[in-house]
Amino acid sequence: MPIPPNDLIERMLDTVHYEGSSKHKLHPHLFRLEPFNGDRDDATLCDEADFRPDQMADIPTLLQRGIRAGLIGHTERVLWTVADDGWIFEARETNRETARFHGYPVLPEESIGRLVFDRFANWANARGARADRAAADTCRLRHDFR
Amino acid sequence: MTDRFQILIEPRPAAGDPATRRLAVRLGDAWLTQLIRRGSDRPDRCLEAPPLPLAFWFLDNWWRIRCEPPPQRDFPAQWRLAHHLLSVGAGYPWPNVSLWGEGSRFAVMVHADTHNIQRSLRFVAEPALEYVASSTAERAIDTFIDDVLQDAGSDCDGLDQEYRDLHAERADPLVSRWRRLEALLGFDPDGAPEAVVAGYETMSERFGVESIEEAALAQQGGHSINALQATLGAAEASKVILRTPSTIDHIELNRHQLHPPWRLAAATAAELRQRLRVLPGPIRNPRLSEVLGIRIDRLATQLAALGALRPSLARRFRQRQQTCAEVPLGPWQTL
Repeated sequence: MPIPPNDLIERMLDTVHYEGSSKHKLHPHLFRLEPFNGDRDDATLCDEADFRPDQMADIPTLLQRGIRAGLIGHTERVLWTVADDGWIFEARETNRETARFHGYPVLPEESIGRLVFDRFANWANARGARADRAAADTCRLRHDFR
Repeated sequence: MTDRFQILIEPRPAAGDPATRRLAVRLGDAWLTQLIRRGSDRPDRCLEAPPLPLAFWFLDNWWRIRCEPPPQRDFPAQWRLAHHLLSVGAGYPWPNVSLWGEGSRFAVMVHADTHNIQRSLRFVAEPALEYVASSTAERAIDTFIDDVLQDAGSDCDGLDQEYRDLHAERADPLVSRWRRLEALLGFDPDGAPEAVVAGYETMSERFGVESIEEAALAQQGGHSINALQATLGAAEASKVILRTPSTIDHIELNRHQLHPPWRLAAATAAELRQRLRVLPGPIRNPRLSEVLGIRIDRLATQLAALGALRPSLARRFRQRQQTCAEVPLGPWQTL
């Protein structure tokens, strides 16, 4: 995960938007999403991370948190964030022209989680708000990062 | 021990995400993608996921997968990113399998799929460590990417160009040697400091490629070359010389190529004992000093400084010294 330049961070803060994906929800209608058409594949479900419909309103803030912390992949088409309950989420570009991203949880055994956490915790401690530091602490406990 | 390793793509009859296929990884008679979905009691040997992220992951990490065994102590996150199938991510749960090359052989390690959260599926392959020939693994990955390209057509998101670039690197001896060194040092392509890789290249001319690659793997990272130079300095300053029995050089390791490391080591040790006429059981210091041609008191007192010098490098060092069968003594040189 390269350290992103400040102008990229500023640009992504302005342009990135969230658009929920029915594919990653067991019951899309509860999240006010269109029903999933056809048979499901084995996509990771947000429900597995105990993600609730009322948390949808927090997602823009979470995306901004991840971008400010520099949790941006080398292609800029992937970024990460850490939720207040310690879950790490990955957001992937759905549409390049509109900069729409959809998201899903990073499974606890995925190695990217450790790298995301390390960068996030450093940022939260150096420049984050109290809520960011609390999220880092919760993430450490949830994933047993030492 | 097997020579069958395949990554297969099957069409998905059901309607849904048009990018999704049925993916299967086969090792011998085992399906590493075998899984049970929640609410079903029937195992399925295929994961239903898009193949493009897996193909890109193979290309992005090809040199490290092919050349970089795990570090000696554990599986750190940076290593797992490049070797662990779970790292493909992209919103799908991939099998808990690690892949790495060790020269002419290629390891496939299946980890237990254990987790403490409710999941929509669980992989059921038994934990195992198996080896296949590296040529088999290369062919399996190439065939998979060919299949993905054929399946995706023009909608391959640049995979075709990246694949051509990788083939060009593999075909170029100078580039592939550079990439191998980067991988052995634990870096992604173009991720290693140029001075470090260039330093190793220069040392390859003095000590030989095989020895230097072994040294790079033993001490990964940006400070690797400094550590190696310090170790070589200590070796050159040492006054302790031992005589390696010439019988060691003629033990043929490739005969047991697909054995796991511990069986390889046991077979080699048994053969060495036979050649040296050393009986099973502990080797007493007097006999060891006799075999190595060194004073018995040196065995207890002169081990620390040369700890990081690798065996093959020591052999090169011996040749450079022009002292025939004499090398500095390091603690790895026990029987």
